[in-house]
Amino acid sequence: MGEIFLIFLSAVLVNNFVLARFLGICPFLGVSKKVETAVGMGMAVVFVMTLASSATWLIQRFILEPFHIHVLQTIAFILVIASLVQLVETVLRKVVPTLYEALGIYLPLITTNCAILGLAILNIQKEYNLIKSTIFGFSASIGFMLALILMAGIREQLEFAPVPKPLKGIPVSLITAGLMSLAFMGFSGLVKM
Amino acid sequence: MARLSYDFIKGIYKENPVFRLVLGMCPTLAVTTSAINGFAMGICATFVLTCANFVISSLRRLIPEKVRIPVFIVVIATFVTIVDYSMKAYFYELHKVLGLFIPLIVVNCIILARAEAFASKHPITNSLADGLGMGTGFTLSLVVLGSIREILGNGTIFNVGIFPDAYLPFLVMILPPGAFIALGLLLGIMNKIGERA
Amino acid sequence: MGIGRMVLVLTLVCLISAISLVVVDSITREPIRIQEKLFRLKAVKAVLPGYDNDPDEDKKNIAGVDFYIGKKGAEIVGFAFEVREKEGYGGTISVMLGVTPKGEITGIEIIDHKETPGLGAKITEYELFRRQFENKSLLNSKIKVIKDRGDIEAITGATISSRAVCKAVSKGLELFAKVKDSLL
Repeated sequence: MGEIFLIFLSAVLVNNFVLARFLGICPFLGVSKKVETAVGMGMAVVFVMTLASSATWLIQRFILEPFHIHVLQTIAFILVIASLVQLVETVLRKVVPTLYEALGIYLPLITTNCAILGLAILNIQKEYNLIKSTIFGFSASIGFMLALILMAGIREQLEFAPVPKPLKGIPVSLITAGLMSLAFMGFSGLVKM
Repeated sequence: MARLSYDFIKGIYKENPVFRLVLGMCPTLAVTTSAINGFAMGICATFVLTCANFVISSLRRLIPEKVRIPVFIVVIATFVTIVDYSMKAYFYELHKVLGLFIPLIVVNCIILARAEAFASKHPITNSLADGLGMGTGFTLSLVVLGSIREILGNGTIFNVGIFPDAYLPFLVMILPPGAFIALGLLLGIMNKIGERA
Repeated sequence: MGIGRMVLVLTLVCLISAISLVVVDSITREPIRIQEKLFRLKAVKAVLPGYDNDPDEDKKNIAGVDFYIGKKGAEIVGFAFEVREKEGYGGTISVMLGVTPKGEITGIEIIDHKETPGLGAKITEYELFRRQFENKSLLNSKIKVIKDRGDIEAITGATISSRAVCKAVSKGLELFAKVKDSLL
């Protein structure tokens, strides 16, 4: 139990996927203009990332390893993630249309979110078991959502700030992200792992 | 011919993937702790980009519209794996440094974006020129960012010391916050220059 | 454009890709194995004192760990082996550890790590940090950082990484003490 809590804290605060590992920067910059869209995207990512970490773990354990085809890892993982996104989209539309309406437009964007493929590969590198992989996936995506929502909150305020023209938009967002990353480094003493 | 050289040149400045189109941010930020790492990443991405553009452009009339994205992804992932394994076999220590970010070239949006926006609509030669140009532009941006971070954060460039020993490195530049801030300022400077031109 | 054609194209593309990757795998398998071996041997060379045999040929696998044996003539001068510690700052740190038959450290090399460049990664850059371990053993010192009441001075800004290296080294020494009799 203790270890699971440590994985959670570490992935959310200390080794935040966006601010410390640089995974998922594109959606982080792309959909952080409004808090509302950030929440939508964040939830979609939590959903897919948690599922993807279990699915890719199972593929690795029961297909790639027994047949010694590690060489197909990248291809297998990216196809699993792409199909998973498609599956989630279809199921949501049929079963929970309201949730689909909220998340729908973000789902296709997730396939190319490198945080998800990165997570799948990290799970294998860290030699996690199925439960830890899933927890790690969930925690990492919560960390992603946290960074995304914080960023969106700041950017909504930045709209009204007198930012020099060449820095408007992406440049100032990057600098803001830098300051956030600096602040998050303060968490590094929190967990020793 | 003029068209061909334009397809190559545009990737370097006018449509520079990092500074103009703001694509492929993850590897840009993550591997530029030194100039040499940025260069190596750039070369790998250029190889994948050019090969993927070539294959996709030659198959462009055969791929049904609806399954084009999965096909693109499979083609890109194949070349990425080839790079990953060849690096490991012939540049073992560099491979250790770039680690996780080699397989992640698959989801580098520059490559999928070029496949979708250019290679699937243009002839082979133009797609090759486009791939090489975009790759060169990407590599240049990574080397510039990597050099700035390495000079300030470590006092060296391409591992050669350039400051007297008394220089205390501005360490934060090679830490994650420095990556964001350096890239943000660099983008701002590029905007300022572009504004005047 | 029928669904049949879509399936056909996708299957073909995947098939061609899988075949070419298996070919790449078979071509690179041998070079990768050699690279990994060379890399290990370089570390072995760095941590073992003067030997004149080929430690790669004189190695023993005990409890899943390869012990490279360095000999001068017929006399054993030391052993080198890899120890891994999961609790580095960024992940697993692998250390190549060289010891004399008596269990005194002859040298350590960091062979793999995922530490932050500029901070934790200094464990590979600062030779003085690694030199501290030389001649230490379980009997004559405490392989811990000074903060934890040990004898090793941690690198500023890399306490967690230094601590993980200490942990790996003392784990290695304990392992060596356990298997020593079957090695000699």
